[in-house]
Amino acid sequence: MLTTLPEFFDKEHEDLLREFEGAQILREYRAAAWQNAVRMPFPGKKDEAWRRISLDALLSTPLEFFPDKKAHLPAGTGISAREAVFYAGTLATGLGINEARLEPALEQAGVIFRDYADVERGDPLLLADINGKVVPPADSKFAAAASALADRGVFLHIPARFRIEKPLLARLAASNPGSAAFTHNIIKLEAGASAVVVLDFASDGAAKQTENGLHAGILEIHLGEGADLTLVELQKFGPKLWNITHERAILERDARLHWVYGALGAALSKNFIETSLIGEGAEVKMHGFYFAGGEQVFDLDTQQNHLAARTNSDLLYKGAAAGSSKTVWEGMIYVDPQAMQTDGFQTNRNLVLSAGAEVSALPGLEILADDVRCSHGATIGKLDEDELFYLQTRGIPRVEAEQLIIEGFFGEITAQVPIAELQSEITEIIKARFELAVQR
Amino acid sequence: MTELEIRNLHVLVNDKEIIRDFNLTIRQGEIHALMGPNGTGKSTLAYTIMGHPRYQITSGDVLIDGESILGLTPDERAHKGIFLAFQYPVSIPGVSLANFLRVALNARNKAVNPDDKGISVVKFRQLLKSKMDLLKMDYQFASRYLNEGFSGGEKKRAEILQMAVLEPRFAILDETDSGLDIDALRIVSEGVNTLAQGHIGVLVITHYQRMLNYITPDFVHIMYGGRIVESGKAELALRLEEQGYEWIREKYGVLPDGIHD
Repeated sequence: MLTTLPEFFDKEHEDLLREFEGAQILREYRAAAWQNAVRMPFPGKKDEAWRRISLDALLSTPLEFFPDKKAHLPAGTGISAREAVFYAGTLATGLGINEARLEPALEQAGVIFRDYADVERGDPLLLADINGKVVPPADSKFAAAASALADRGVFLHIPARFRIEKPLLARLAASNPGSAAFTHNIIKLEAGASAVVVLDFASDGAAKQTENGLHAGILEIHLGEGADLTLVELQKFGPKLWNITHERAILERDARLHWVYGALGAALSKNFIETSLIGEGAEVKMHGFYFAGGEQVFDLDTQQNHLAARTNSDLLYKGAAAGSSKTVWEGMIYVDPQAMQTDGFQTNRNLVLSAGAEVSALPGLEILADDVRCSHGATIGKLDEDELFYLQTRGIPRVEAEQLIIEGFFGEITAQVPIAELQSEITEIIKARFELAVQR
Repeated sequence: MTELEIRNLHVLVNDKEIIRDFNLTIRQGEIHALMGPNGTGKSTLAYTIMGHPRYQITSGDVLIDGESILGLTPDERAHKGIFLAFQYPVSIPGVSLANFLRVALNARNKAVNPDDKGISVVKFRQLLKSKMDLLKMDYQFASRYLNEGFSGGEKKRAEILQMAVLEPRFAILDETDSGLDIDALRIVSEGVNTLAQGHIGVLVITHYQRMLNYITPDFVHIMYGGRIVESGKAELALRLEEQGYEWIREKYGVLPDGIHD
């Protein structure tokens, strides 16, 4: 079935929903989400959060919906032997693969780390009080579509007070060239639980991907009282993919989240990355990096919602734009009237690497309480000529000098990644992105 | 004997002539001091020799062993063996001093020998430590981001450390003495002496005699109005220390238009 998105949502597809097995309550959830997906308009230029990008190409390109699930697996989407040893648990799902592995101690403790659709089939009750509680289908047409149609995703549930020292790795593959894929991802830590999670979104990462595709996904993160999550999320989709996600974390009292977000792939990536601090003393650190080249478009929407007293949020996003790419960062700190003694900070720094690149940085504050400390700042600049000259006088050729400065620029963020191997992988990816940008 | 020659050099900065008919030849192993009041073009000269794009050469030449380097980029000039210790070194956030210096050393080695595979991390660490010992620097310095949060004195010491690792043939020290306390001045000066030892041609740019108490110049030049007006031996620097620059102003007149602080 090859059809454009508008045509797809114009037709009756209840039969599609029947494909998803699960308890009645889940079928109702999907059906209600589908109603939203059909009813809601596509976002467009009149919507503040969407007005800086164009969805025209996405909406006019025929896509394959629910392609053969046994499609070939792109290289690098599985879990390597080394990773299997390094991580306490691994999950690879999407494009015909579904492998999950957990160390026995975690399994015995009741940790669940599996594919979303798998859980829906096998343990539907696990989802019943989680689905849509953090990212409701009514958030947008794409959130609704992902809620209704997700056939894969990451599901992690950690029982109360269980602390996992070694990190967990989830690798999610989407999508086949020319197709649309929908994912539903959930991370739930009960009170006092802790974990380090790497979420790796990949498609056929090699530049081979020739046909456009779509990934629309939601990520729901729920941290119970005192729970502690470090999440490293890497978006490494292939260069022809459109990627739209709604991602939100809810933090209860004294919960702590450190969320590192890296946007590297995709033709267009529109992401809502939001944290809601609903319990007193909750704390979030948000670190982001993005490197756009060619004709890539990244539009990152971050939100720090302070909804309880004594909550802290600190955001630092850094971006570089080369070629004729376009990046947008729009941030908002919202402080509720009752969120007294709150600290909220946001900073966005950008490097513009070519005359054709377009960069926007739009910080925002909405503060309804008076006993707060909040600040925001954004910078957009080119590589500093004096820094380049200095490095060159030491014998470092111009291009290498540029690379060194960019490495240093992102170093502040990559240093936040708690896994050394991942740090160097990210550094290598950034280096490769730069080399690609220079060639163009 | 290798030599660096500056011949009839004229330089414009923002359409104003800052260097006018400057001449100087520095041979390997010689130490020259270039002194003069503020705004006479000393730093401009240093930047121009290194190839800063902001400085426009209208006539004249800079040559190494008779070969012009004006067509070369700053990194290529460094590969020819010229080093500038900056008066105000910039900081590079996120790049450690050690990482930066290794990249610089490898770039130079590769320029000299295209087949160079780069120095091993272990060997580089040894080299860096020996040079840091020379300048009595704490090893943890190497892992700090380049000049980021360094004190004035630390920056100057880091400049000389870079010189020690990169082993140039000609070094221009642009007011390396400013910002150094008396102990640091002695350590840095002794470091320069050890490194130079007849191998390096050194141009010490300074306002004051004090560094020259440690680094004995073979020649002292007074720069005024964009060119050298007086040249002599070490005694010339002592005369400046005693009498200031007033006699220079009287002898050569007020600065021409366009040359001021």
